[in-house]
Order: sequence, then structure tokens, then C-alpha cells
Amino acid sequence: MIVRSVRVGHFRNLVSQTIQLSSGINLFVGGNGQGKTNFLEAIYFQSTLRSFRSARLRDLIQHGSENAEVESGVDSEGVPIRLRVFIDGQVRRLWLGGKAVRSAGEYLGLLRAVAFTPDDLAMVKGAPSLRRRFLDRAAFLFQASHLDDVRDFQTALRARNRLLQDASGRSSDVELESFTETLAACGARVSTNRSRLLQRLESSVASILNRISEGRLEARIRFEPGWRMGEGTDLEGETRSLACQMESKLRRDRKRGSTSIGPQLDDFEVLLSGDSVRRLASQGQQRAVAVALMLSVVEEIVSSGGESPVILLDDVSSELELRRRERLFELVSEFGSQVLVTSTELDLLGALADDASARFQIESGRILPIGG
Amino acid sequence: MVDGDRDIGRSGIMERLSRLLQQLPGVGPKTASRLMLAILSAPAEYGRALSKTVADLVDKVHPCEICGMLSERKRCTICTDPRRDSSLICVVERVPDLLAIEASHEYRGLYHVLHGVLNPLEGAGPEQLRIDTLVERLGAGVREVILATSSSVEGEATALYLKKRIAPLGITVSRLAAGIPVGGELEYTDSSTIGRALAGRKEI
Ligand SMILES: Nc1ncnc2c1ncn2[C@@H]1O[C@H](COP(=O)(O)OP(=O)(O)O)[C@@H](O)[C@H]1O
Ligand SMILES: [Mg+2]
Ligand SMILES: [Zn+2]
Repeated sequence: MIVRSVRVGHFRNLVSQTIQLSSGINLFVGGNGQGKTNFLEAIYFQSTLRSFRSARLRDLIQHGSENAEVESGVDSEGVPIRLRVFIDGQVRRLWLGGKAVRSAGEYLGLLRAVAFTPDDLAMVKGAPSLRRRFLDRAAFLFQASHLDDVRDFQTALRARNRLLQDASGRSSDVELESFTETLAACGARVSTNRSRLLQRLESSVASILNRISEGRLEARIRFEPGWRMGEGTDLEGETRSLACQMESKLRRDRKRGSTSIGPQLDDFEVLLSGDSVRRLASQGQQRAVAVALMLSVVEEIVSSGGESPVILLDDVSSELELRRRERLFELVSEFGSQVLVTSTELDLLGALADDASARFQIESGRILPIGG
Repeated sequence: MVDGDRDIGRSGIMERLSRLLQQLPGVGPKTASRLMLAILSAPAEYGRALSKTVADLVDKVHPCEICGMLSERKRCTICTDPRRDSSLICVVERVPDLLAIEASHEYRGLYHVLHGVLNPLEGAGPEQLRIDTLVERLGAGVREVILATSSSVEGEATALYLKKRIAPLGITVSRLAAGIPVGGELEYTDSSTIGRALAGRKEI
């Protein structure tokens, strides 16, 4: 998947302009606060209709402007397409070619991108919500419906929690049961998708880790669902089981006014030769594992015959040691993916800077190609 | 903004009508002034007829006392049509869903409009919906209730709730077959898809 050109209009601090990208490695260099992350965010938003900074839609609109837009010319499965998103206050409008698109479902998946930011580097050690965010973004790349499953799950969870908090006892038991069962159906789907994803990534993570880190380590991934889950093979069975587990916690849940078990507590652990990376590994190793997780997603897509997503690497170079950084960039080059990398200094990019097919300078939101 | 718009903004009556129109779905300030200017440039009879008909609409059109469909009579033309199969009741969220199923010409039973779905986050519980009136209808000769609420979280939970209330009465409860687009309300679904969803409905 290749983004040929991007036109941004009133997006964050970016000057309204059209950028022609190379199909290989694109470098964006500039000081802090110049708009590097904003530009990657624009492309990520074009792909997923979300920001990787979990911002509200209106944060993306340039201060003093009423709307923002991003339009890209993309080669998707060898077919040139034109994607356009327009943000008008709270509303988002989509176009494919010249035609307005009514549902996000028709749009999502046409441009696939993975983003990797300093936040993601902290994923292994950080809060479980960071790991769930990784799982959900990655699962979405294999199965676009995963985002709907997560959204439905969250809606159902909020609804059930509201019923649990209803101290007046106005809500009937039958109503609560109905929402519990609906929540269980969405929840079983979410955890099952996440569990399948990790099974799929495990061997890639291990092999990538051995390529970017020294030594031979046996890497395993253990999914830790926030409820007692079976094999995840029988969705209806899992749904019934989750509903039962929620029912059995009903008294406690009413007391605390929220649902105490379920996918909202899902987590995973990476083990290196049997040891928990979260608890025992060095910060350098933990970051290497985070990189391996991200790259395993790309490798899985490519090895199953899919088109590589566009890889967005924001400022990761300053956070990784030189040796790992160079291996990371080598691997990324091997995938033959289109890559957009940002850095405050060209030097930090090492050999990647030499392989780059296009370089840009970003200053005060203006993006200019650098010759050479 | 053009100067014309500003004049409209200053005038009391025009401003009031513009505000009223903007409360309608899909009408913003521009559409509101376009509609208003169109009314003004048509013969005066048109505007008067429009305003009288709107008044009649709100005074004389009410939910049918049986099914909740909008009607000028106490009971709507569907509920009083002797050719309809009164052993079958299809439950929908809103009037446009009922109209969409009618337009498919695939269904000959009766309807029940809930006028909403269970939505705890918006304070909509069973009392806010026409659920008790539905249960009251189930005494005489009703064989099957078809639940055609949407596939959203709230639509699914509402269907489960209705099943739990109705199934103990010994009546078959079924759900429309898949084929309705995800999150897609019946209103936006074409007739042949609705026909297939009805034919392939499953007992739950
Ligand atoms: N909606 C917005 N409108 C205008 N400027 C914005 C908006 N959102 C963020 N900015 C500005 O963008 C700059 C940050 O850009 P960013 O891409 O994060 O920088 P960096 O190059 O360090 O990655 C800040 O100066 C911030 O004030
Ligand atoms: Mg940045
Ligand atoms: Zn009626």
C-alpha cells in the first residue's frame, strides 16, 4: 500500500499544502513542535478515521479555522484511489474518488497504516490500556469489524454500568439481564479477536526479537483475559460463559456500580525464556519487545499475502539505542513497505538516512523536500 | 455571509421561522433561509395552506392506540384491515422502519411501534417504550412476534428483553435474519433485503 500524495488543509499547525511521497523511505526532519507528529497523524487519520493521540475530532482542526481536511492519492492493491476526509466541527465526511461515502465501513481498510510512537515503546511496561490499544489497532488490520466489536462492547459496558448504579432499583432485573447478555456477546467477540491475534503474532515476535536483539531467546506471548475464557473456539459457548460469570458477580457489581470482569481488563504478557518482560527485562529489552510486536503485525500481513501497510515511525529513533535502531530500520527496509519516519536530527537515523528515497524538512508546519 | 442573510437575521418573524425550521433534521441556516424565501415567493395561498396543514398534522395525527403507527383515526388502516394476518406482530423501533417493511410488500401481519429502544445511558427504560401495550395485545390469537429492532447494542438488548417478557406466554418469538447492514436501520435497507430478512427469520 503506497500513499503517493497527501493534501492537508487546516489540519493542526500544518500549512495547507500537497506533499508528494516516495514509495520507499520518507524522512521528515525538524525541531520540536514544528509539525512532524501532526503530519503522521494526518495520514493515520486518513487511514483509520482516528488519531493515534486519541484526540477529539475538533482538536485536529487548525485553531481559528472551522474545518479541516486530508486527501490522499493511494495505490491500494495496485489500484489508484483517492481518499478524502473533511472534518466540519463535530462531523466527519468521507469521499472515495469523487463520491461521498455514507458509512465508515466502506472506507476503512482502503488505506492501511500502522503507527509507532514513543508511547508505544512504553507499551510493555506501561498501563494495561496501552497494551489493549495495541491489540485493538492490530486486530483491526486483520479484521476491520474488530473496531465495531470494541465500540459495541464499550457502549454495552457503559449501559450495564448505568443500570448497576441505579440505586432506586427502578431498572428491572430482566432489563439488566438483557444488557448483561448483550454485553457478554460483544465481550466474547472482543476477547476472542484479541486472543486469536496474539496466537497469530507469537512466532513472528520471537523471530523478529532474535533479529533485533543479541542472543537467542525463546519468546512466548501469554494472553491474560479479564475473565475466565475457554479455548476461544466456540463463540456461543464463550458468550454464555461470560454472561454466567457476570451474573455470578452481580451482587458485588451492584455494590461497586460497575462491571468487575470482562475484556475491559484484558492484558497480555511477553515471556523471554520463561521470564516476564514486564517485571524482569531491562528498559532496552522492553523497548525491543515493543518494536518486535509492532513489526510482527506487518510481517504477518505480508507473509499471509497481504499488501504491507504504510509504516509511520514517529520519533522512535531518539528512544532506542543505536544498535537496535539500526536493526529496526533494516527490518523495515526488508518488508519493502512504504515508511514515513520523523526525527529531530538526521544523524539519529543512521544508515536509514542513506537508504531514504525522499527527505523533507518540517518548519512551522511547512513541509519542504530537501535536495540531495 | 451575504447581506440578504443578515436582513433575515434582523427581522423578528423571519428569524423565528428560521429557528423553527432549523430544528428539523438536515436543516441548517442556509437551507432554512432557502425554504423561507421559497415560501415567500410562492402565491400566498401556498403558505397559508402549508401552515394550516402543519397545524392539522399536529392536532389530528396521533399514534394508533393499538400499534403506535401514526394515523388520523384512533386505529390505523393497518390495524383495521381485515385482510391482514392478526396472528403475526412485527415489532419495530420507529415509524420509518414500519414504512420500510410496508414498502417491501413482503409482510401481511400487524405491527407494533416501540417509539425507541432501551437505552440506559439516555434514561430510556421499558416504561418509556410501548412495551406494556404490546404485552396486552398478546392475549388473543397471536401466534408469533417478530422482533425487527436494529442490530445496535440497544436494539439487541431490547430484543432480548422482549423475548424474556414474551416467550413465557407461549408465543413464538423470532428475530429478523442477518442481511440487514450492520448498524443499518431498516429505513435505509432495500425492499428485497427486507424480504429476505423476513423470510429467513429465526426463532430465538
Ligand atoms: N489544532 C491546532 N491548530 C494549530 N496548531 C496546533 C493544533 N494542534 C497542535 N498544534 C501545534 O502543533 C505543534 C506541535 O506539532 P507536533 O507535530 O506535535 O510537533 P513535532 O514536530 O514535535 O512532532 C505545537 O506547536 C502545537 O501548538
Ligand atoms: Mg512529535
Ligand atoms: Zn395500528
